[in-house]
Amino acid sequence: MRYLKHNKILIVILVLFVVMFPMTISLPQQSRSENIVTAIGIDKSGEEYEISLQYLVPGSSDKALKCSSIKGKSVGEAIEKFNLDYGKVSGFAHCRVIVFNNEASDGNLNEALDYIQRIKTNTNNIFIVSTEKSAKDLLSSVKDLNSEFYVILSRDSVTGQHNHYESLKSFGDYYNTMLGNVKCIAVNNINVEQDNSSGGGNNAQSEATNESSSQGSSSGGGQNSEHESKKIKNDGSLTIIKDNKRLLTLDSPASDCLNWFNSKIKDMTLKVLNYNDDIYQNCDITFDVYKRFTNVSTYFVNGKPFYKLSLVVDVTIIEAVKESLEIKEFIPANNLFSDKLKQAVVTEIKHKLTLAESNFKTNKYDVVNCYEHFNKFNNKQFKHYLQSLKDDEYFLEDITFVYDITVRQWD
Amino acid sequence: MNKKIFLFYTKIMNSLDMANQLKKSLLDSTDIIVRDLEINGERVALVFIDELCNVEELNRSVLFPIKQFMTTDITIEDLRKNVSSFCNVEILDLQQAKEKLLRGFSLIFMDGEEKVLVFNTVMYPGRSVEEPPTSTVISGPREGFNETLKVNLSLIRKRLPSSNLKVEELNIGRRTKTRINIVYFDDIVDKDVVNEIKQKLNKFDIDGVIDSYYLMKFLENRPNSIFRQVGNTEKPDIACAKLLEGRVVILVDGTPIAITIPYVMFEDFQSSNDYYSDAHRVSILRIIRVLGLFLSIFLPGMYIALQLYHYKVLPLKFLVTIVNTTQNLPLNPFLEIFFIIILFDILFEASVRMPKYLGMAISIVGALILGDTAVKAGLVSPPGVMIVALSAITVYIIPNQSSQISILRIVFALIGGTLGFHGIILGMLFLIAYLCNFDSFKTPYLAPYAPYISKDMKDFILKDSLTTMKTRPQSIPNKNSTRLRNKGEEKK
Amino acid sequence: MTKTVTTRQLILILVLSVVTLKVLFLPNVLASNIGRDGYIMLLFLLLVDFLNLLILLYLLNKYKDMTFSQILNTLFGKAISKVILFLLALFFLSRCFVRFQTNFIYLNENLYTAFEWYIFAFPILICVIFCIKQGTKVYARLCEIFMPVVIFGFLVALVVGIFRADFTNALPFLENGLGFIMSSHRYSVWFGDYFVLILFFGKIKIERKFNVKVVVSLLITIVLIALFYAVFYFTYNYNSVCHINAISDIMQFLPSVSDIGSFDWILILIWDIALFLDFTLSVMLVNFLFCEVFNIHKHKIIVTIVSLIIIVAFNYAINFNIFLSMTIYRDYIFAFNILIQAGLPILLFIFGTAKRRKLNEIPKTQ
Repeated sequence: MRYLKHNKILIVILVLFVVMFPMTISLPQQSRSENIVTAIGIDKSGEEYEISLQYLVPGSSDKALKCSSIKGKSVGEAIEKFNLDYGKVSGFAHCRVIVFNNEASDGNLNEALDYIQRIKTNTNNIFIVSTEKSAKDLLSSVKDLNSEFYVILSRDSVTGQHNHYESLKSFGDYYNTMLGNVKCIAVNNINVEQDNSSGGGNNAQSEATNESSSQGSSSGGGQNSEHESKKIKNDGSLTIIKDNKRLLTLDSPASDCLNWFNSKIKDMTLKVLNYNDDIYQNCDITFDVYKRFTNVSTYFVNGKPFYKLSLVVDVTIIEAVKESLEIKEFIPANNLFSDKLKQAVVTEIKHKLTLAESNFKTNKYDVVNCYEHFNKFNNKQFKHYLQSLKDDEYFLEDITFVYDITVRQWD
Repeated sequence: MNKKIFLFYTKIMNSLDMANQLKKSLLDSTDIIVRDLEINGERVALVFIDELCNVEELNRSVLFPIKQFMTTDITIEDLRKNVSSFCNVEILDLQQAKEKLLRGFSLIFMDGEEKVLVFNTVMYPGRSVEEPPTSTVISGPREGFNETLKVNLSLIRKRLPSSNLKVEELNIGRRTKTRINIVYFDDIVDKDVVNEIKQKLNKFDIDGVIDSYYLMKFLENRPNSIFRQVGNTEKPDIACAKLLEGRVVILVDGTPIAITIPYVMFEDFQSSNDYYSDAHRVSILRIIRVLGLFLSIFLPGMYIALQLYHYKVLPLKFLVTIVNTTQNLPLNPFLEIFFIIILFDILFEASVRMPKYLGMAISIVGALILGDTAVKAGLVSPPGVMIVALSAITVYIIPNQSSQISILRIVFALIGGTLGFHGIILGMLFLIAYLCNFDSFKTPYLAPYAPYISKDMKDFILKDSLTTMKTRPQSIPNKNSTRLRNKGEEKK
Repeated sequence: MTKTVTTRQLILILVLSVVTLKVLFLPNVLASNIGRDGYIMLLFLLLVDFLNLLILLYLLNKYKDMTFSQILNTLFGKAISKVILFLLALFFLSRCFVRFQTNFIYLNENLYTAFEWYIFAFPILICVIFCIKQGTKVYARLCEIFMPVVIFGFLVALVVGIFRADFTNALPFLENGLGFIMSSHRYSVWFGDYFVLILFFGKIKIERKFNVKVVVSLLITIVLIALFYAVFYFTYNYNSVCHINAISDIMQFLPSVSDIGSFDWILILIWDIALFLDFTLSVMLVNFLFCEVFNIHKHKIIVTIVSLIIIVAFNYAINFNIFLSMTIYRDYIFAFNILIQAGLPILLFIFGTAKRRKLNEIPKTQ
């Protein structure tokens, strides 16, 4: 004891050990006591929500996922029921995506997302995705973290590259838009469809019953009565959400037109049909847009708003399809774009832009941030303009869109 | 005639009897040899300790010259003068001669003389100058100190033939009377530091000093702390470099470890090889050492904290691996790590103590059977083994701090398991605050980082070229800070 | 008086005091109440607060080797100086309440799911008591070691935010005019940071260009804090109201987050260090001021322990609810804060310039 008196460090270490050791060994491992949820699916039928949670099944196989669903009057109630039934609290720290179906977004989407918004977690890295029919079917068809679904998500988050389609929106983007003036956002649509190829493919197991045991088996057998195989379909369609409700769904060609307004889209393709000139006769030419430089400027002329989109596009031919093969097409010197070809490309781009413009004017949605741009750069004139309208919702109608497109050849 | 006979008889009793009396006072030890000799008609007694005496030197430097010069009426002083050209000889009284005898000197008692001739015929068994096992270098000097004080001092003297190099000797230890040499540059060192050292050493009346470690504890302000407050080295080139920086080097007889004072914690991040290699490479290596230090102390604690409190921090793919491997473990994460740490420490201790011919077998048992089988049996997880292995290896990235790091990693494992990351942060702040208050010998412990001394940053974590180090370290108190200048400046 | 604090250490301590909370919860508060033009309000308040620093530096240079209480005695006499010291002690005690709460909430929001208050409170109190017991020299060295890491973390967050922010969100500029400046008193609880300088009066090694170094460093800090708010708001825009921890939330935009690692937790740990150091500094000041008021020279640690018990008890009473305490400050205590932050410096300046320092007042240096 006398030795201990002089050796304060030893006393400190002993005290630390005596106090902390029992606490430390009695604590449960948090990763074992919480359910690691990687995706949330929200389906609505009538007044009830059906929540599908996709979570990791530890110990079964590398990166195996399981999907379970439960119904409730609200999202929060359903998740709490799930926690009770499953025996573990759901941890959303690793949640990558929230999927909602058309029915859920036809109602008040904010009502569906409110519970998730209040969770203390990293909302910037949760993507929101819509699906046509059932979020449960979509999530059930995803077997593990290497599936196409997660590849699509990770590609967007890692590289910022996305082929052809609107960039994925995060949860934060959604709330940022809904809290702002515009309250309009375009959300990617990902669906499932039947895989008709012979030889199996993915066995989708939709487990519709509530899980009561803490560890269910997910590999192999289980409920697989119909031998259906489903695959992910990501065709670039978009769901337009306005004022927390689904306004419409744009199919792939329509969303492709809309993408020309979005400066963040990196890779795009463009097709000019039935083109004729000295080199290409009756040709369907496909161009790869290598680079795009976009500049938006807004101004007023005599009180009328103008939205000018200046595009400089670097393109290269990736495919020229016609009935007969001619050698002159392959001579390098002949591959220089003629003015006619450039004009054809410009016309095609303008056509797409005009289609998109008429679409959002008709349906009154502003996903290209027109309102924000006018508000920022021409604030006073814009306020004056809005005051002259009966309803702010019609502000797009009188805006004249001007397109200034320059096409350059990239080789 | 009767007087001569009387003197004759008293002389015989004097030299041999004195020698025998001396042997009796040393408890009649059988290794103390007493020889009764008659040289040129004079009787003398030779006393020496058999195992400490160089017999050839004795014959050459003692007996031969005595035979040359001994006469019946020569005095001890005359004999000394004549013999001194052959060897190192002095005249001492009986008590002093006794002490010299115990150090290996030979004694010659002459009839009628109270004083004794003392000859240096010392030959201690000892190692030759070898490369120290704990400080190997790729390029640079490979000499190391050994247990002989004289040899160690000679290794320093030959590198520093300077008139300003001062050596002071002390004897510490009632029974061991260990010789200590305090070496410093008189024109560089701060005298307050030297005085403080001497004061501290003279304060204690200890039985015996076997190793320099005993003295280290006397010199430290907080001897019970796990952190050392004095430096040490086994290499003479390092000792000389530290002397040139304004430090004091203490050599202790019987140990190859020299003490250097003052000490700053960051000198343990520097190795001798750093000064004989390219500066850029050295900077990278030092960064790796710092990283290694962090890993060894904090990694086990952080791993436990991640599992218990902060699994959200882990990316999903890492989390999947950890969850899958730890799913079926019976042990709590802290117990798992603690168990593996103890296992590793047992293996290390066994490897240090076991005979060489058993080394292979024990390594196989330890590594394969205990490690691999424990994982397969489901007692521990592979990530846990990997974490502790990494921590265990990085403990030795700074060998001088290995004992402190070993203790700290267990403490931080405990803290991480109880309080999580916040606890680890608090523990780190507590530790650094504790170290900030460790000033000794007028030197801040965490210099040159706290307090920040910009001139010393050239040889801190990032090392600059030798040509830029024009001043001595400002964190070490010194009287003369100029180390390098151009020859033109000197002439001015 | 032995000089134990260097210029560099002092600058780092002042930066710590100024930066810590202003990039943590204050951006959310300003975004909720003011919005886009909040950086103007922040800049305005920081510059007003900066005048306090100038006044304190003036006093420091004029009364070089005197402690703050000695200066007050010289300017106002013993009785009034005790009153001022007592008021300052209460001011710093209120700062301690805020910092203790923010530390708890910060950890609860970011690192822990269910954080028991006693698991949080006791270790932090032990560490605070230990640091205070070591003295200002050790505290200054501790800041010198950790503040570069904190500043580095802040700059990284700022750079990440700059790359992510859409600066066109600054428009329309001053859409609703400058009227929000009139409500600046509501944010007084987040300011008054330069008063920490009073702890170091008489202990600072005043080197060459001391004033220039301090002023320039703090001005740069002010600009960076205002820039940080701008970056925060322009990144999150309308969503800023949902983000309580500005500095850690900004780090979520670091590239390649989900697959390789979530790096915001490194900044969370760095900022935990800053919060602890800031809290320790405030407690140290409370300790110093109460000891000066009640002339306690021995067993000063008891004052620290009593102050900490009061802090914990208050926070326990309001259940660590920072928004409740903010409401209390905003509605009731703001007047006291303004008295200290605005009134006291003016008083010090007037009396400081008016009073000539007599030769016999200069204490002998040790």
